[in-house]
Amino acid sequence: MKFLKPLIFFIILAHSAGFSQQFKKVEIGVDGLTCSMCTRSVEMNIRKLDFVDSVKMDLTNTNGVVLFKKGATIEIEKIAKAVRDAGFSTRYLNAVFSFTSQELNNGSCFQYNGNQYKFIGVDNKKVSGETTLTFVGKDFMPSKQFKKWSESVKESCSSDKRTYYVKI
Amino acid sequence: MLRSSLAAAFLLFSFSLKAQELFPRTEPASNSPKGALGVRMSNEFYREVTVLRSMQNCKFMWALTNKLMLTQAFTFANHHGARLPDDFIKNDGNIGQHTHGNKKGNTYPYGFENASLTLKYRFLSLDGQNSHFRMAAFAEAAAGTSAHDEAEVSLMGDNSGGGGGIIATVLHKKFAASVTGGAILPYRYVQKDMNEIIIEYGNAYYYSLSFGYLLFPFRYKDYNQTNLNLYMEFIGKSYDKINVNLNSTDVLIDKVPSLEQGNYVDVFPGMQLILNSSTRVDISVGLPLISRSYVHTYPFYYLGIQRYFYF
Repeated sequence: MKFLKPLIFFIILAHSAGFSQQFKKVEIGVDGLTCSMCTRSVEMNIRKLDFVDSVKMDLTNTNGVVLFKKGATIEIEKIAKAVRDAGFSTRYLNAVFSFTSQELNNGSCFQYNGNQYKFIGVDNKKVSGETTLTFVGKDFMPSKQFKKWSESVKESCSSDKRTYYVKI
Repeated sequence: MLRSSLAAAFLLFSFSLKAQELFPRTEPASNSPKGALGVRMSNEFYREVTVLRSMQNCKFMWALTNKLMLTQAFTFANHHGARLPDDFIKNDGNIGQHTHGNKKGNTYPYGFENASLTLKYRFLSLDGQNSHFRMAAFAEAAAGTSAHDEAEVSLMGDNSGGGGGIIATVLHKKFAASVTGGAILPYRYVQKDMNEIIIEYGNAYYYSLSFGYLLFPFRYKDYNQTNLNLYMEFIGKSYDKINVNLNSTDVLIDKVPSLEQGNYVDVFPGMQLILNSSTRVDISVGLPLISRSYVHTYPFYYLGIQRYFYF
């Protein structure tokens, strides 16, 4: 019985190593921005999301960096929605994800926080540490660009969970 | 040497210079951001003989979705009395010589004129990195009590009624341009005391062409920079004559330009300051370009302040 407490502690510790896989930040490009007031409204909208710690917009290049709160559940699609709600559109959305160790095959999936992420357009390799994933979807890029990927995003990882498509 | 000069030149021209499609006198096709309440207070004033006419408009803008925006506006002015002027119809039953703008300058108390609601739906949005093209359709309704004694109708203050139109706005780097076409369908005015006077207003059609240019900053560095934009707007209107009915008899209207059919185009040079990327100040002056409007004298001045409050 003496060993129960340290055993439970060790089990929790062993499992938490798996949870260190997470999104670290997002770099987002925004289209349609034509004034500093517009950029500010995008920033205010993204800042309102409860998992966002800070937003830094670049007024010249119309892109920004979104940093997350530690331990928060990150919902990437809400960032793209915040841009839409401000009245603009996403040019690109790159999320930096920290992998512990991941086998990367074209078409393979990994899971994070109840959603599935499918790799598309990648060469088979192994990744670990901070990796930049570019989100592919009509909400994450101009529609002209999405047309090239529309065939690749037809197959989902599983039928019951939402699938996001990412490339490196 | 050449390479570094070319690189420097390229850097200079590749700065994303952005114009601002926030025209002082017309609405762009874009909406306010979702989750922010836009508040605009504006004042339009001009001298009518010895009287200073002043009209305040208070506007609240709220995006219901990222494509649909609701605007509620209230107008206060000293343009109208509680009743039509006593000499609107002469004792002999003929229309009075409507001279304000030329000789008259009736003093009216400052008060509430009308309230309006507008729904604007942005149905097209094509975004580029530093450009966009948008189109929107809008519908509006206004209700008020103004004893409006002119043929030219307006849903801001003067008349009750409905209206709508289409807006197309384009933005490319430093330049912005917008085109609007709309219609006003006014409601009649009825005055019942010793006599019954009914004014049936004709429909009006308006159109505008607006241009904007970002003068500075030359390069966006942070939100605290003051922005200066220059604008040139052309607003034209075409309206029908009024019909006046006194105790069930039509009153003949002849040779009274302000009560007859009209067509005009006014031009509005203006400038705009954006302070701390949050407060917008507009200054504009209205001048006649083609023919004239009879609802105001020239020049007439506009001052507006707008701010978004984020929730």
